[in-house]
Amino acid sequence: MMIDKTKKGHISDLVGFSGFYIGTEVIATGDIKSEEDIFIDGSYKGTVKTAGAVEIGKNANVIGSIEARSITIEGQVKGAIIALDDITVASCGELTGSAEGKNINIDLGALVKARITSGRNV
Amino acid sequence: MYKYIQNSLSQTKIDEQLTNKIHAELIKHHIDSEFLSFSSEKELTNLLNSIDKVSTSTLVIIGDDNDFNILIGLIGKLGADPAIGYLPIAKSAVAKALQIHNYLDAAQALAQRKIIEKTIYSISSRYFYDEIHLHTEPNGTGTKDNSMKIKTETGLELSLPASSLKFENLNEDRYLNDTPIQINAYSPANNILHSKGLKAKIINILIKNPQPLGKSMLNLHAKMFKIESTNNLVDNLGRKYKNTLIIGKHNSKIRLIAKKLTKKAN
Repeated sequence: MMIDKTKKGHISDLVGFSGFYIGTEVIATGDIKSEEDIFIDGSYKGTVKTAGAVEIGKNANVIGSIEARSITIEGQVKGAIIALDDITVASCGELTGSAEGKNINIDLGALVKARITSGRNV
Repeated sequence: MYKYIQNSLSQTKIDEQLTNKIHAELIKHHIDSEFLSFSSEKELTNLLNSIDKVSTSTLVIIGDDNDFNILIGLIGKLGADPAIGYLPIAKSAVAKALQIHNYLDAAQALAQRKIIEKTIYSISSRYFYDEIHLHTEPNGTGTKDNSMKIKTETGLELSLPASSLKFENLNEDRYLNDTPIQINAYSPANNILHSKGLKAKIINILIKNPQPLGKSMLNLHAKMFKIESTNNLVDNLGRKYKNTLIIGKHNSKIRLIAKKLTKKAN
């Protein structure tokens, strides 16, 4: 199930969300390979590869690479990220590294120090 | 031959009137026999060891989902046979999945003997069918540094504060990646981990009853989990575990009796 950004509150409030969730209190290392949507709001070091969407929450600190259908960043990410569709860095988000996606959206206030590649042939 | 067992300390009590009704229904289907009782895991183990596995075709648990899971918890001791039947006397998620809604359905299902094979999962030396909950035990030292590590078969490692964990059997055919176990970690609703004495006794009682769950901290699927906790663990049935345990798929399936669905007449 796609993460519905119009819903406020904790991820556990999202009825029906059965994807992969790492919360604020969790420190994770290793590789994640999945078919599902992934929501990371804690500390994570490693690689993420999924056919679904990835959302990096406001409290998240991610070091590593991410490959997904789409990626939304509201926390901190250091590494290379690749999306088949959109990449969005929200106003509170920080991205250091590189980003490749069909469309790259950087909201006002976002901190981005990355090499950006976007367009049809990504 | 059918053997019926029931937990004399079950949370769902069976009165004499219901017992007689159940017997009457079983007699109607020519599958009645004595109801045997147990009041502890040890007694149930002895009961299972004493059963003649050659002549016993079906072992039936009478009770609620907790009682069903207590039996499944020791199922490894039975070996491949007999088939397992369930006669629910309370609202039951497990029975519903077997198309059994009450003792009348159960008696009919037991007579029909439609057997389905189901995967069960091992947790340390026990087993579970649908889900199991784990909570951390207070260690009595008053230390607040209670934490746990969770590892999966892919090498993913997670560190988190002492949590309530729920492991759920998702039925492996639902997932393409063959990751049939879902884990949810919740912060305990009440921070009662460092209490001792009378409080600890109350906590033990509370742990046996379902506690409200706190904030969700983790949700993921895998084939196997290894849990390392600073404190010992106890499950929702009050059974204790060491602070290191492994949860994974059991290497053989169990045979459960489900109800045959009848076709509606046109």
